[in-house]
Amino acid sequence: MRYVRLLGMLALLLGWACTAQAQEPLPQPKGPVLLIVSGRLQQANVGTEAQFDREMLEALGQTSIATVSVTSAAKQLFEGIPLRRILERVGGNGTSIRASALNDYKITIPVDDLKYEPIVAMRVDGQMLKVRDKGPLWVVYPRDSYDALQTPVYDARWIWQLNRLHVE
Amino acid sequence: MKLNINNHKAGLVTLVALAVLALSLTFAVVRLFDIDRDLRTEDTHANLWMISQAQFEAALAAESLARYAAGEEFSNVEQAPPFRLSILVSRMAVLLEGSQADVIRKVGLLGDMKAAYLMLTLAEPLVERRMTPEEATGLRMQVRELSSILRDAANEVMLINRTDVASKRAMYLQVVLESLVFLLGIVLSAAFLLVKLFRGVQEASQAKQLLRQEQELSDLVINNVSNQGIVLFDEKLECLLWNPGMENLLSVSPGDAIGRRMQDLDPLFSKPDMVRSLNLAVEGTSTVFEDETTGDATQERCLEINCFPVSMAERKLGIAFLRDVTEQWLARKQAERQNFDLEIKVLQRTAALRQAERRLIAAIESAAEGFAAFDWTGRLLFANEQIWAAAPVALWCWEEMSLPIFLRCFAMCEGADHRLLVAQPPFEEIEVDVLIKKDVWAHLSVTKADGATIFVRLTDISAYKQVATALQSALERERETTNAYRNFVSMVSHQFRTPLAILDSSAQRILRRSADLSPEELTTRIQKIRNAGSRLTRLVESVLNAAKLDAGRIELNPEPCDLVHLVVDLGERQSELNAHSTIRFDVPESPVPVYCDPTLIEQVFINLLSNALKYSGEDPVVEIKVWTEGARAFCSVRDWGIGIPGDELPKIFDRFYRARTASGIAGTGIGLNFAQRIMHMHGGEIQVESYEAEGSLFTFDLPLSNVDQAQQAA
Repeated sequence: MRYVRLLGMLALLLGWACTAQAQEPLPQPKGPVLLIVSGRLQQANVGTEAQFDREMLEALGQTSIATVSVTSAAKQLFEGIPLRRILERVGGNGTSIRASALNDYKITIPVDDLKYEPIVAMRVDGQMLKVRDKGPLWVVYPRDSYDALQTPVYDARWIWQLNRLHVE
Repeated sequence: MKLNINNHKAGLVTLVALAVLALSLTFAVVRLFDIDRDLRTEDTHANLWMISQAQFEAALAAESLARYAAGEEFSNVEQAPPFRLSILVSRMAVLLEGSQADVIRKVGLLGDMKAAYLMLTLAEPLVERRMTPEEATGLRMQVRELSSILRDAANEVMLINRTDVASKRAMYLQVVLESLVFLLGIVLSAAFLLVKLFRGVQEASQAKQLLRQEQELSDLVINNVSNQGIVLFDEKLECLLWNPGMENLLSVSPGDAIGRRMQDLDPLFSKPDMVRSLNLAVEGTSTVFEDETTGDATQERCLEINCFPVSMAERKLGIAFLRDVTEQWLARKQAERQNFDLEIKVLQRTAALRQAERRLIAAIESAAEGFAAFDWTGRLLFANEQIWAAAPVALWCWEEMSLPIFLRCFAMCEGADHRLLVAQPPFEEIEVDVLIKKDVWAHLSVTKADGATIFVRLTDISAYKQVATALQSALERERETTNAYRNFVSMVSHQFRTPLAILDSSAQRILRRSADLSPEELTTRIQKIRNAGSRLTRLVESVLNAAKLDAGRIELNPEPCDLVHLVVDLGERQSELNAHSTIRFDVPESPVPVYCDPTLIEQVFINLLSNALKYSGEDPVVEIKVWTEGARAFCSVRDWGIGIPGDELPKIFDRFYRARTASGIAGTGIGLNFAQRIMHMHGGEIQVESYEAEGSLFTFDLPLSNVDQAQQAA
């Protein structure tokens, strides 16, 4: 079963790689840059990097996850952009993503994790995230939906105050 | 049974081993999960890291504030106080929520942290605005202070971690040890199970081999048993096995038989009895029966068929054994026929015997004499009514009658002897006459026939006994008569000879000396002759009297008379005749009237008186006494003479009997007898009382006359 899923994943990745060619070029960020994607990309807008302001990120389409988290025993509604969508948009082509936070906290997220469909949350319970409350971007896994995610390994990938993704 | 218990034990042990295995596995897994959970929840390093991150951010914020207070312009937004403060606030928030807050509370710095957080939150709008350098400096001092609080917190958390780690290590060690124990349990039980499995497999293969050997053996037996047919069949009565013996019996080869319904193989299997037995065998019941095929003599056949249930490979099957028993069957039939003939003969003979027995019993029952039969132990076999009715039996035999008891019944009868009392097996033959009741005599005879049966006969012999008694008495009378005759002859020869001799001698004297005789002498002689003559006359008279009495020719002519007068008159006359005698009278003055024949009573009295005088020697003294007593008169004659011996007293009234003391004294022996008989005719009796050499007392009695009685009564 797992192999079937893995094969499906590879097929998706291939498909995505093909479609990425057809993506239109990234526009220049107009507001404050919230996220910088670097590494093995096919699309860039500032040098070799792809920089996103809030508007650009919101343009990628939003989704939501309702789950409890390490920091909150109560279920919270996280709204944001699927990580997969961001990588598709920049034509990210790697096996892992190195994510950094404003305080230079770094964690490696395997591309394989995209099967859980993590998001880059911008709002919690309808409130826009600010730097003082783990914002503006926060990687969120659908922790309640998968038992496998309820481990310290995955909890550590809930990186908050995210500002950089490096595709390797 | 023992095997079963062993099986149960083995099963139990296996179960226990399985349970140990399962429990060990469960506990080991549970412990491992415990550790997993522990590892997952207790993220103490993360706490320390978060505190250090917050401290680092506090330091950065303090530095940024210091630079702002010094008036420095920030080219990078990320180095400006608002950004750093926001970061610091976010880090502080992390410390104050979830498990981090618990840790902070544990080290007792939660209040300080919260105050610091509040301070920072309040400072945020101030920092967003343009704040004065002084304000920045003040804020910096507070942030520095927060930094030192965070450092203290880190120290405390680190210390707590150390103790936690120590206890956890101990706990993990324990878990490891426990797991080792569980592992040992798992290994042991698994090893045991493996051994069991191995042995089970080994046993199974051995059993299979044994089974195969048994199968081979039974095949060998079945196929080589040629004198017995063996067929194995299932519930549809289809043939599964058909041995050569069956082929010999029914001429169907095994190849043709196997797999086919048995009814199709031979009509034998279609018979209702056979079908029922086969079905019973399949259902689990054994049956045995014989099947007889009758026809002409050459086709007669008898098969013995045994059907048994067989359970093979969890299937209920039946097996039938067929054996040709024609020879035995024919022999048995022959024997049965002979038996039947014999039985008929026995019945006929028995009936004849019964009839004979009934006749015999009827004959015995109708016989006048009692008859009983006993076996050699004395047990009663048969007794007829006459036996049961015999007086001693009817009286005494109320218990079960055996020969000893029967004989003992007769032991108290007159004529019985001790043999009847001591009779025991083996019994002796007995012949005895017994008086079984008044006037009934019986002859009891016990005889043994062919040494086993004992017959008892009880014959009524009363008639014979009576005749015998009569004969006996007649004989005695005859003897008496002979005796009397002999006495009479001797008496006559003696008593008659004396006077005759006197007569003869006197006559001779007179004849010889007739011339010489003086007249006195002649007178004397003649007187002697007369005396002798009168004596002879008396003798003849007394003999005649006795004869008359015997012939019943003496008649009694009673009349009233005076006894005193009679006695005194006769006594005085006697006294005159006998000069030497002394006769004394003791009589009443008044007359004693009695009712009698005076002539006969005179003879009685004279007899008694003359006897008294005769047997009293030279000078006899006689006393005569008369008295009355009641309605009777008594008269006694007493002498003091020679007396009568005591032993002869009862006999003195016998005719011709004379006491030995009387020898030498003339007498016929008739007188007393005659007197007594006369007294008996008068209803009285002569009593005698006498002692030898002392004298005698004779007393007779007579009834007083009625007239006198009337007078006395008046």
